Amino acid sequence: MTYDIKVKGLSFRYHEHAPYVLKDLSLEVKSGEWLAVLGHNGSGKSTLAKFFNALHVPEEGEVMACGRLTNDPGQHPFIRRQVGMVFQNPDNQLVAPTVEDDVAFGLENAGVPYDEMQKRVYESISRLGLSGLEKQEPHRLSGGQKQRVALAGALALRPRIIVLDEATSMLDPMGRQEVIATVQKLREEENLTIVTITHDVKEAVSADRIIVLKEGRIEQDGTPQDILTNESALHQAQLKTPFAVQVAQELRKYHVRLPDNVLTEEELVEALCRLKQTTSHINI
Amino acid sequence: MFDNVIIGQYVPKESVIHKMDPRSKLIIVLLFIVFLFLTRHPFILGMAVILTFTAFSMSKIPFGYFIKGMRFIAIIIFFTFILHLFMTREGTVLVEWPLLTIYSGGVIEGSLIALRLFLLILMASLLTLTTTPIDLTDGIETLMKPLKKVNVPTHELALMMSIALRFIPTLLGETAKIVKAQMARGANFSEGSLWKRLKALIPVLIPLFVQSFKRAEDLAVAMEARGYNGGEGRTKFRQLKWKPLDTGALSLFIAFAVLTVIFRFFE
Repeated sequence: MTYDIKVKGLSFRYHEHAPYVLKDLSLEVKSGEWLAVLGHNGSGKSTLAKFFNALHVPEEGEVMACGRLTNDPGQHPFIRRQVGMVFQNPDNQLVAPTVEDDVAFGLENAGVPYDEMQKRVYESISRLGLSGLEKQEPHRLSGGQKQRVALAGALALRPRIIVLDEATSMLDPMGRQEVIATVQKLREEENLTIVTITHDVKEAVSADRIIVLKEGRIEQDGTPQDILTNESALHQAQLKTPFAVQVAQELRKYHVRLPDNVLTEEELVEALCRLKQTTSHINI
Repeated sequence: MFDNVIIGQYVPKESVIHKMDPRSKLIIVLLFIVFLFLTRHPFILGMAVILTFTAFSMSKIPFGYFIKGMRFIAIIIFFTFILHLFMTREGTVLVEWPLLTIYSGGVIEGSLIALRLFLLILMASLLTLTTTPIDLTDGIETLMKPLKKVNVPTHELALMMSIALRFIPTLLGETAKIVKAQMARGANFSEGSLWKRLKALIPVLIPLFVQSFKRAEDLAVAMEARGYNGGEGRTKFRQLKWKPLDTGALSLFIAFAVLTVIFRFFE
């Protein structure tokens, strides 16, 4: 098994005398895995994300991205090509005056030759369903579209890892759905390793693995199944259980025999319908 | 308010002028302006008028649109005319009133400067009306490239310009939002003396500045994350293409410049 990201004994504080934001944290992300990092405000999750892309460099402990130590500034161009990032505020991460120029920005930085760049820019734009918007100005796009442009910009560099640092938290529900669906599609098609940093438990549902961060430490590490149904653990990290899980738990109190793996609203509806077919005499 | 200023606005049209390379357009405008102010010869001035109006009609931009944008400029031109009219004391006396005398030289000088200013504005606005701001930035960057040898940060300047262009609409939107938010709290922007109204702008400007710094920081992080590392070893997505059309147009204006010099020597 190869690991795309390896974090060993990482501790971090923003300056001397400041409290530690990350405390002796160790973590491994497998190649092709979708990891969701859940945490409340101030849990250190966004700080952690910045280590994957060498935006922060460890002073205590070590971080390896795609097999390279992030401490070495000589490796930064390589690491930044391999680890694409999408940030929280859709308005503050698009650099260029049009969509195509923005998608090209990373490629320009990497010194990709002109012909190859043309090819990759339009390929990336069409893959994210942004065709027809190439010449559009960023301020005319919706939030979801802007985040997809940011994703296209990251994807054009053909990365191995994409890190979404609260990329959906400033979007409306439609935009959020749009971005999550795009990420899911990309993962299926590209075999990418995906790390989503979020405080929204709903976004973590489709991940392979969830870690819960609290005060700079990993509190929980497991499958969505284990973690999202564990109300007390989530509560400790100041997170809410997903709505569908809450409803399922309440229903179980009334002896409605729902399976354990209900995490999303669709799964809940599905389970209830199936239950209704098998036990038609119960009135729910 | 901004409807009356057309310099800096782009009007998309399918025209020869729109298709020209921004570099050739920039050089032409510079050349034209410099040599326009070197000449007083009626023949050359006539040529300048013809060149300007031909270029304008080729650009397919409605003249009405231009006139609308000229109102503010017209005031400046008018005042320059008046100033020259009264300040020049050459030639024969045309009007003699107790407090002011108008000489024939004044009329000539005033008209000359007004014509030059008019042509200058027309050409300069033609440049921005037919060239997108991005192309203009690119053109300026390539033309300034030789200055890199004397340590002028041309790439950075061009990038700053393009980021500024990218954020103008974003900041305008944000300003509108802040104005509404402050109005909801009882701020009043449209009443009172000028001083009071200016003071009312402070609660708009401060959050705008704070937000802009926040944006700048976010943007810097995003740029770094995408591997931005200065202009070294960077390739360009936008490539400017110099066409025969550009060579033709530029030669025409070089001929104009040469003629200006010839006429100046033989005057």
